[in-house]
Parts: sequence; structure tokens; C-alpha cells
Amino acid sequence: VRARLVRWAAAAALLAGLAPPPALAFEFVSPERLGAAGIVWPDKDDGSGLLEAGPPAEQPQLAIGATHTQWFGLRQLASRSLTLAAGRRGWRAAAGVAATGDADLGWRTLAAGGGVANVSGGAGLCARARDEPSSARQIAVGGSPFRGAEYSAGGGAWVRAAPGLRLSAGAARLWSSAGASLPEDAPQASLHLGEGALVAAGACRQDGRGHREWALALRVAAPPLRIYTGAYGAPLRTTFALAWEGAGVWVAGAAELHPVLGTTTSAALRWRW
Amino acid sequence: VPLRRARASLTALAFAGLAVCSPRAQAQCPPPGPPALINEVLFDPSGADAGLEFVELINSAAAVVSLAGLRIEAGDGSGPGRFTLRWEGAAGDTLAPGRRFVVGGAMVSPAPDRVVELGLQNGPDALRLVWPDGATEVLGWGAHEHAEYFCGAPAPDPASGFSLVRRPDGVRRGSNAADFEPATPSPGGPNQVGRDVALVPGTLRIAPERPAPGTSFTLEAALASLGSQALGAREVGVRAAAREPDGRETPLADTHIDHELAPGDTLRISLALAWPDPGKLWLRVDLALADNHRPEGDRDSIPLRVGPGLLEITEIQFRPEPGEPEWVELRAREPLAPDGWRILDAGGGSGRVEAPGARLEAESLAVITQDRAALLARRPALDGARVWQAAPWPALNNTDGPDGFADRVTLREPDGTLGDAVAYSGDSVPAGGSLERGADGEWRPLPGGSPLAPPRPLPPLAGRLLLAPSRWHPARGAPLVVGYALPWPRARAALELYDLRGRRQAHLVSERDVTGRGEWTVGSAGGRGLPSGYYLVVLRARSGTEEMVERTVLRIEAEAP
Repeated sequence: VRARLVRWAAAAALLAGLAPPPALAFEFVSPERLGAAGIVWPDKDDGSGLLEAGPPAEQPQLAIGATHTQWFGLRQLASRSLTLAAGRRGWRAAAGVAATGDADLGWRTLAAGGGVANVSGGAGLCARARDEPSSARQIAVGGSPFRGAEYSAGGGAWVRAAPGLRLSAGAARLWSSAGASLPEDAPQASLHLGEGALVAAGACRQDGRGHREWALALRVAAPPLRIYTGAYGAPLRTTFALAWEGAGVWVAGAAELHPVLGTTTSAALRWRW
Repeated sequence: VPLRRARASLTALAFAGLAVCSPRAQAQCPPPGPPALINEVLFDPSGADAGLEFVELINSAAAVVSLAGLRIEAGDGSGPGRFTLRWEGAAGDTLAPGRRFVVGGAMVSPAPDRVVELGLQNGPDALRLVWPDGATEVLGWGAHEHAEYFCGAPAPDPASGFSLVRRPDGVRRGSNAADFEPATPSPGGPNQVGRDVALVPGTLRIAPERPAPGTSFTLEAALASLGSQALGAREVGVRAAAREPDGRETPLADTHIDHELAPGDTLRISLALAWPDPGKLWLRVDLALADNHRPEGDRDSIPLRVGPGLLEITEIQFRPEPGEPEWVELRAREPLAPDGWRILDAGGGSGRVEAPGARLEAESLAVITQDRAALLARRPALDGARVWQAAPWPALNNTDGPDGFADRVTLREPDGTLGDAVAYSGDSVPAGGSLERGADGEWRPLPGGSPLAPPRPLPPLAGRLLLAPSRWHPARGAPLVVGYALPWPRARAALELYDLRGRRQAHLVSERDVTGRGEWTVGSAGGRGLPSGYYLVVLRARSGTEEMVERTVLRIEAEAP
């Protein structure tokens, strides 16, 4: 009975999350993910990993999840997302919607992805359509026109190189209607340290403007809790997240500290079967 | 007077020797015929020229030379064939071997051999000797277009008060540039002595040109060993002193040159100095050399203003509407007489302010313009008593150069002291608009301009940081106006641009002193090259030990129109 109550409460929360325009900012932080450095934990199973950069989840699962992220404490810059992930045997699929910002400055994203995976490795493709609601209005009132929609596609893969060692890489925008784009995320490796402990590192990457990124993260599991912490990039950003899982419901909260811009907070809820 | 402490340091740099002209030019000029040569000429004495100009000839041969029928002609380099007679030798005018013969004005000292008002021009011009047998010698100075006005290559155009001398006396290297150099006038005397050191005319410099009270500045100069003998290390002393308006003098530096100086060597010296009080003073540099055979040229001075200048530039109209001339608005910090001030641009263009008898009271605004009548016709409501013309007008550029500035407007007092200087970018200024300095010291575009009007007050801001527009199109040349309101009356503030991944993408405004309420106009160059997307504009400010960071979202559109 208790488990059923938890599930119904989670379902109610998800429905409440749908009341405002549904949402997603797949490219950025979620409680399990270290912001721009792009660490995607191997057991992430809400589909956002597949939607973000292509690497599919290792285990097949049917899950629905929602996130809410407040960027740098700015009220005008919040992201909400809703994702659905499904898998059967070696096949993986995910879809989601997201909205960031407000009616003045903001965008909405619709994404879908698919791939294959087993215990040795996996690969996937993802595609997104993004538009800015205010762009259509601005054109309608005679404002200056600008590109209000963007379509992009990318992909990613992971491989278990050795027992406990997993390597993965992804590029969210291998193709974009707004022009070519460099890979957004660093190639990364994750290594099981022992029972429930996992360390992950992202390699250096340099974008077209000379920025280098790196990431180092640690996850410790003590069921029903999981603790995530890490640091990445320049300027140095640090993250901390705590997740709880029980009765098929997974709840997490995270904070990321930027030395100048302030703190980004994120909360997530997932329901899986 | 308490002794002001000053630190002094000295550096030296040897210059390369003077260039010589080609062998062909050496063979042709000056002609081998006449044994008497032009040895020195002063065509631009300090102040009024009348009575002070002179030409010195020298006979380097072993026999007496008759000057009867010799013509001294002045050349006007602005066009071909413009030589006019200034003096002609009479029967009985002779020049003994090794002697000098001076033709000059009545005020030349010692008295010249022949008194005549030469009326030489200041360059690019020339002097020519024409001998009765047709042989000629020509000496040209400045940048010439016509070859008849110089021999080999023209000599440099010396600063006012300095003559051109052949050094050593009577030398013939085959080119005006190789034979002559600027020097302190020495009519009737040798151009080169045994031991001589002098400051190179016009080389005194101060950097920064208008230092803040108590802060270090650099006084630079070049000195030259002009004698025929080498000077040993530490033989040449360098002293600097400050003279205040009431005549008080304060020593600032006393040091020595640590280098040996061969004949002809030139050294650049640099003294690090400081002055504690705001105001105007004169910096004097003296060279000291034991047994100096010629003390002339051992001293030079330059005016210096410490702290704010007498005025500040408050508005610049460099891109006026058709029919309106360019103009610059200024505000007097102290009462001043504007007549004779100079306005300059970055390219060296310079105009003199013509305002005889005018006076500007403290805190008053005035306008210096390219065409006073046109400006008053265009804006009849202006107070004509505070509108003055400068001629010639240094045309102000509209388009930014590689350094991000379109031009630099400089105002100088009649004696050369810096009044104010402003380098501006034309990037964000629409046609017909001016750039105005706000009460917070920041420059902002102002549609239509507002000559003789104080800067518009900024309205209260709804928030700490506000952008206009929130969607920025830098590729279209649009500026970004950033309004801010700080919790302190004054602060240090900077503006940065971050992407949503938290990476800094640009410094939009470098850290500077600001007032509590202000506005920045960021030129389109600040956003060029950035991909379309969402960014965070971050205002970082601090006052004392307090700090604040304010952020807001900006959408950048990278597409060109």
C-alpha cells in the first residue's frame, strides 16, 4: 500500500508539472549531470542522456521523468522538462519536451532519440526541434525578423572497454539548421571503484573560441541514497547532488556553484516500471 | 619648500648613424667648385622672426674667396622655380681661409658681417647660393616634392628656435640630410667643438602626459654628443627640476650617464618622477659636463599639468547631418582664455582656436567648430559668444580603425600643455548623432547632438541592470545600451558576457570608476563573432569591501541583415 501511495504521489506531481507549458533543456544540468562538462552517468535511465547527446541507457526500462532547473538563481531563466524513456531487449527510445525562459526570452524544445545497447556498449541518435515563442510574435507585430526555429541532430556511443571501465562520447549538434557546431561534450570515461562507487572523468576539449573543458566526478551509492559530486571547467564550477529511490520512484536535488554567476539548482522526479 | 622626493632612473639607447645619400648624389652635390659653403642657417627663430634670421658661410679652402656677385636666394618649396633674391655680395666682400661670414638680421648676436632682413620661410623650403660663374649650392629642409629645392635628401625641419648646422664645419658628405642637423644657433662660431653635449631639440616627452598627483610619470629626452671628442662614462650629468608658477624650483632628479659617448652618439634617457600637488609647472632638464666647450643646448623645459586639465571635452560631433559642421563641446574647470588653444586629431591635423579677447568662466560650456557661421545658421538658438572656430579644422574620422577607435580629439593650451584628450569609437553613433559625456563620465550616443547643453540626466532605473534591446543584433551594427544602478554613489564596475554554460565570452566594459547610476553603450564589435543564442550579461561592481554581481539574460542574433 505504501509503495502504491508513493507511485500515485509521483504521478500527481508529474501531472502538476505538465500544467505549465511542458519543458526541457536537455543540453544542460540535471541532478545527475555535471553541467557543461557533460558527464552522463551510465545508469541514467530517464532518457535525457539519449536526448542530450545520443548515448543510450545500458538497461532497458520504461520511465517517465520531470525536472525543474533554476539557472544561476535567475527567475527569468528556468527550465522545465518532461521525458519518456522505453526499452526492449537491445532497443532504446526516448522522447521529451522542454521549455526554458519566459514569453519574452525563452525557447521550447521537442526531442526524440533512439539507439541500441547491451552490456558491452551502445550507440544512439537524437534529433531536436527548438523554437522561440516570442520570435513569431515579434514578427507579427512588425519587429525585426530573426531565426526563430532550429533543427539539430546528433549522436553518441559508449563502450565497456574493460571490466568496470566505460568510455563514452557524444555530440548533440552534428548537424544543425543554424550552422555547423562543434561537439558540445567532452569524451569521457567512467570507472567503477567498488561496491556502489563510481568515478567519472571528462577529457579536455577546446571549442571554436578557445575554451577548454574538463570534468571530474564521483558517485557513491548507499541504497536508497546516491550522492554525486564533481567539478569542471574554467571558471571552476562545482556540483553536489543527492538522490533517493524507492518503490519505483526516484527523487533528486542538485546544486551547481559558479564563482561569478551564482548557484544553479535543479530538482527531478522519475517514475519507472 | 619641502623637498619632494623623486625617483630617477636612466636608460640609454644608441642611435644609428645618419643616412648618407647615393654615390651619384655625392658626386653631384654640393658642387666641387666654390670653396665657400652654407655652414649654418636659422630660418625659424623663437617668437617673431624679424631681425633674428641669419645665414653663415664658411671658407674651407686655403685662399681668400671673393663674395662679390654671390647671390643668396630663398626658395619657396610649394611650387617649382620659386627662388627669390635675399642678398647679393658687393665688391670688397671677401672671406678669408677658415673664416665665417654671417649675413643676417639686425638682432643677430654677435652682429653679422652684413645686416639684411632675409625673410626665410619655415619649410618645406630652401636656401640657394648662386655664384657669379653659375655654380650653385642648395640647402633644403622639410619634405619636398621638387628636386630643385634640395641636394641628395632634404635636411630635417628643426623645431622653432633651432638652426640647421653643417657638422663638422665645412664637411661635404653629398646630401643635405647627411651634412646638416638641428642645433642651437651659433652665428659666426664653430658648429662643432671638442667637448659638447646637448639635448636634442624637441625630444622632451612626458608619459602619461597628465599624471595624477603623487603618481609616477616618465620624463624622456634624447641627448647627443656633438663635439669631436669622446665623453667617458659618468662624465655627463642629468638633472631635472620643477618650477612652479610662483617661481619656486624643486630638484627632482640628479644622476649621470653610465655610458661612454662617441662623437655623434645619441642617447635616449628616461627619468621616473612624481609630483604631489595638482596644478601646472615646468619641468627643466639640465645636462652637466665638465669643460663643456659649448653650453648652449644643455637645457630644455616642458610644461606639465598634474591632475585634471583646465577643461574637459564633453561632446563630440564627428558625424553631423548635411549642412552642419563638425564641432566639439568643452567645459571649463577654471576660468580660461580660449584664444590660441589648439585642437588636434590622431592623424596630426591641428587647428588654432580663434577667439581673441574671449574668456570662459568656470563650469561654462563652449563649442569649437569647423565653421562657426554654418553652425550658428543651423542652430540659431546657440549663444554665439561661446561658439568659436578653429582653423584649419582637423577633420574627425567616423569609422573605427583596427584599434577600435575612429579618432582622438585633443585640446592643448597655447604653450602645448594638454587640456584634455578623448579617443572615441564611431561604431555606435548614428548619422547626425554626437557622443556626449554623461555626468557619470561615460560617453553615450546622443541623436542630434546638444551643443552648449548639459548632459541629459538619466531616468531612474527599474532594477539594478537593464538592457536595451534584450535581443541584440550586433551583425547589423546595433549598439547595446546597458543601464545600471548601484547601491553606492561611486564604485568600480565592469561588464562581462557569459554563455549559459558559464564560460566568459567577452569583456564588454573593462573595469573602471563609475557613479551609482549610469549607462554604457556597447558597440556592436563587442558581440560580433558570437553565435546566436542566449547569454548572461554580468555586472560586477565593488565599493570598498563590498561587492555585488548582477546578471540578466541577453539574446544575441548573429545573422547579418
